[in-house]
Amino acid sequence: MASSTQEAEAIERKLRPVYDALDNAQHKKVMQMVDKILKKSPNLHCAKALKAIALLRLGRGDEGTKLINSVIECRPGDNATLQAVFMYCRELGDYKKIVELYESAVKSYPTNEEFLTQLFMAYVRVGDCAKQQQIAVQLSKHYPQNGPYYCWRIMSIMMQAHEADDSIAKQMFLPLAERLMEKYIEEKRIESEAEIRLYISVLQSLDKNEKILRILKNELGEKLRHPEEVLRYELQCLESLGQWSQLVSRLVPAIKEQPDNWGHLKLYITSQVHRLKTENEALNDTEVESEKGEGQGVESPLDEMVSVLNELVSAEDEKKSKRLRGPYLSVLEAVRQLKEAAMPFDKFPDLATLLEQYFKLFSSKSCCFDDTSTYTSLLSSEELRELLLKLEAWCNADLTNFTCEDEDISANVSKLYRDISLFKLQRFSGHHSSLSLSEKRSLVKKCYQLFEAGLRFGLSLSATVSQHSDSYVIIGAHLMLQIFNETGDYADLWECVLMLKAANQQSSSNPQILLLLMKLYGWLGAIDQCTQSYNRLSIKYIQVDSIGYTAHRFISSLGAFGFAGQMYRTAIRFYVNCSKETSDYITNSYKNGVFHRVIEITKLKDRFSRSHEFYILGVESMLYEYLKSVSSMESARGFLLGEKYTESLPFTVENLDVLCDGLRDNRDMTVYDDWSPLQDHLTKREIELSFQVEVFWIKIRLAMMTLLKDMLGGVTTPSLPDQLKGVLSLLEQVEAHEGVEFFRQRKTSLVNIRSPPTSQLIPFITTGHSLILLNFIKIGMSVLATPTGSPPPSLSEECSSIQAILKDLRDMIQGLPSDTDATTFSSPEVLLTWKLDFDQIVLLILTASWVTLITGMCLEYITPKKSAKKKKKKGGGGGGGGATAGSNGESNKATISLLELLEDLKSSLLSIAKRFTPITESETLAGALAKLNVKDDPKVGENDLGIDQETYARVRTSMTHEVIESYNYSFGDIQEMVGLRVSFIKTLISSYSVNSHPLPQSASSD
Amino acid sequence: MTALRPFQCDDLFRYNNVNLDPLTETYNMGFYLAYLSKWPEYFTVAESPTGRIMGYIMGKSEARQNDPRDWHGHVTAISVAEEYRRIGLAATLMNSLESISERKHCYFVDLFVRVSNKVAILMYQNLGYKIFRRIENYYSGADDDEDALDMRKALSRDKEKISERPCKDPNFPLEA
Repeated sequence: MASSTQEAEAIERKLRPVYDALDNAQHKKVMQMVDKILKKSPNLHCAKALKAIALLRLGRGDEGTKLINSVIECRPGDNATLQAVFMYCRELGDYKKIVELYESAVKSYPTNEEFLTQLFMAYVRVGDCAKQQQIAVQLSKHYPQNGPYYCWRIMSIMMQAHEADDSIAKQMFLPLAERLMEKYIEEKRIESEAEIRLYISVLQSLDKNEKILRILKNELGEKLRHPEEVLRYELQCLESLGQWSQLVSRLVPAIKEQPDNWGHLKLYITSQVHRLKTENEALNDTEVESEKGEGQGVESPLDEMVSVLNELVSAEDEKKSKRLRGPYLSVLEAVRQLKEAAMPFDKFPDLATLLEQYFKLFSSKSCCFDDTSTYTSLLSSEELRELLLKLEAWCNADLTNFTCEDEDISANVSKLYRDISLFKLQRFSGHHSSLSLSEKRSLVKKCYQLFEAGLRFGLSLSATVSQHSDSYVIIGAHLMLQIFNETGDYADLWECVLMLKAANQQSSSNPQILLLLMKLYGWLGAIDQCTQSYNRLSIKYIQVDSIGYTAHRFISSLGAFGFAGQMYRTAIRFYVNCSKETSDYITNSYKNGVFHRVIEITKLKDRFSRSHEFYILGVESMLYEYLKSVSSMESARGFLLGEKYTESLPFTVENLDVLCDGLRDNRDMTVYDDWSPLQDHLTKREIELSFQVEVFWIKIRLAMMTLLKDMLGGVTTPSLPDQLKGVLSLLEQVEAHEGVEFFRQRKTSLVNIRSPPTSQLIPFITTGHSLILLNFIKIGMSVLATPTGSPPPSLSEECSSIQAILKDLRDMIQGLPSDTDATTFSSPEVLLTWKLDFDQIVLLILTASWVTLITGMCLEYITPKKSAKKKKKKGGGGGGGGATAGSNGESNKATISLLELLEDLKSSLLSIAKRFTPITESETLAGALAKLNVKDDPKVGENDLGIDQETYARVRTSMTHEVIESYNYSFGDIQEMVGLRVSFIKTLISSYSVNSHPLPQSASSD
Repeated sequence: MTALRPFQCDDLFRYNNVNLDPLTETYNMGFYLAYLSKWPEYFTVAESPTGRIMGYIMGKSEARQNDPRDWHGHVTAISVAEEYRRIGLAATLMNSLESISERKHCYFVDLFVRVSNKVAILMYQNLGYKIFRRIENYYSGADDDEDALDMRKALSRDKEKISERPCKDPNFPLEA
């Protein structure tokens, strides 16, 4: 033993510098050092494993894996080597291999505590709870003095319960966990808080609330050191049991101690209202007593509540300052609950009076609106109007006339917030919606003026803090969106952007202003500015998942393919890391005995791995790689049949239906502030529909890619016609989906400030792209279903319908507001009056890439390629040239139809792309910008925003510059992507045209 | 008014109104999970009556270099959404962390703050925190590094308030 320890120490000394180099990311040095060591000791597995890690980090994973496998084959039994192999597998995310590694180690050393522990954790990582349990049993058998092992065993059973059906959980796993826990208690082994918490959570899962209450009062409960925790458990149990009287008696002292604790106040009111209900029921049935233990002469719950709450309020009334909001709000809550339960509430003042009082006391706090929104929404519009009138008369603020002497600042700031609270309430009341267009415009102007007036009180604020008066300009922007929804005039949106940009220069860190800028720029097509706001908000890590949607959708549809691709890769890295980190911290929760987190983090892990945002980003990222790499049949085969396709997808698809059905919506829909009236709020239905539509969009694109891959690869199960039918029916299903109808009906996603950007699926369906695809799929089906030797079908019907749709699409795009050439940009007057709709061209690029490939496969199938004799392809479209034997005439007809179709597609692509020509092609960007003459801009000199002329002109010029540059960036990428599609089409035309029929002259003119 | 409760994993999806603030750092998942899985009682969230997240505090208890006199609570992050400022919420959150540290028999509570964050420094001073030392370039930024103030408040176990006496040694170890 001594010798092996000495040996281990010697090895450790030898390898220490290698570990250090690895820690310092000197991977090449690691390799050199290891090679040197291996020369002397060629069997030092640990060194090899460390080298493998260095290889992996240098991007040479293939070599690394080979090396690590050779180490594993030798079944290492020393901890250092196992740890190094573990590190390698962990970095690779290969958790199954970690299991194998420690299973083999445990086989050789069945009682080694370290190995057993590692094996337990390995099972935790792969979520094999039953095996976890077995190992925990062994651990607690061999090391009974070590209490946590016993808890690991119980927690492993709890996890099995979590994953099992409710009935199996309640009949089998949970009772087993309870029995084991009680055996542990009988043996007087339970000691730590963690163990008691675990016991309580077992009982909670079994709804054994009475038992928990008993435990809290016995010697076990005494071991819990945090009184808040004990109280929390107690209240939860009493609430679950509906023991309202006990709750009241437990809560009254708690409330008196913490009169601002909203959780306690609300539960107290709920309890009293429940008691009242019981009492009322009892009164109706005189035989029954209201509640056991309650005698005669006891105060009624209502009177009790009135006196408790009044006492709290009086205590606050007596204070001169720093009054607590809780007591006042609790009276409002009591009235709300009584009203809801149809109980008399006349022992309290009416809601409007209470709200008036609340506003008078607390409207100088910016949380006042949120505090009261639940209650103001209970008022009728008449009551709300009256309340507003009263409050406005009371507030009587003229903010533009504020004095700005030093001693007044704090008082003025309070006045300012008071006015803002009322302004929000006014908006909530629906008053703004009822204004005429011109009234709305003058209110916007007033908003900006109030914002500017308020800046005087924030001169001392640091740049990292929002200005006091920001809310005015935010409401102004919301109003501008309302104006746009009425007029449909893009100039109104640009004015809104301008106002926000001007405000942002004064208040640079307000997130709401940046969020609005991000949304509007994205919507209007300016990717640079959209992502600039994204970066300034520094949306990262989990925010990618929760609020990334606010920008991702725009970024993927604005034609800046390269930029978008880069962004997706960064975003996807978050999900990949998350899957590792969540696994690590589930194991840590076991180690630290924080058992309630085991289930919580497991759920979190699941939430990330099934996040629809992750799948959207994954699909977008893969498509970007596909569009970038594919410009011929060869490159399509290379991409789809090689490793590139699977590598570019960050997930695997086994069953598309199952995958899509399991996706989760993690979006935070409340990130934009919204004070609009309740009836205008974003509805649950819209959120659900937008989610479903996004999932469909993921599904269609994955189904298409799988189809193309299988077609190229000659996969026959399920048969190609069946697969084609599957995609066809998917497209038909989508057409009929209520979400598509919902968003089709709607003009813009700007109707509600919280509405997520509309999915690209909607223009895909509504502007004919899905129809084009559908018809091409039909062509593919009829061609590929033709038996070998038979003449190919006539494709004239499908071809002519596709040509008709392509024509519609061209016409529609020709009908866009104006030409995007350099002259357009020479004046902001034109630029800032329209929206550049990139959707059509981006979708056409995608559709064209799909249909070109399908056509290519059809051509391979029916027509011998010019050079087919020289270049024989393996598995090309189910045996290329199969249908041509003895039917040259028909195959020629079909070939001609297909080639004509390709011609038409090519000219559509080119004519549409012409509209997105970078300015540099006709004249230099610098030249166009130099021509920008703001003085000629008639808008300058008559702005409706209340911004001073100089600022207005400056912001307008810089905005125009930036937007042109951003458009130009997108144009460049679009040209490139269109170019790839066109050259793909050209390769097909040149391969097949000579053999069949001379094509019209235009074929070679591009 | 506040409803304080332990922070839960799912709160991370809804804390954007707090974290979009430029001085509030959004950490990688591992960082949050480390705290959630090791010091669950030290991660507390305040919820508004309508269920919005008002703010949160995240901390831990530890001792540097196994020095029992150094056993202390640490404020890792505290942030309150703009909408819920000026109602004393930060003080409530700090109190909760202090009382947990009291119960864990800590000697003191400490925190780091940017020297430029005058509002926060003033607030901590009002809550009884003293400047223990200044750490150069503690915060690394894209353009500039910034110094931090290490502020401390003695808890009842440290009767003589030794822990909050300004530190003279500039080489005082940062990490355990």
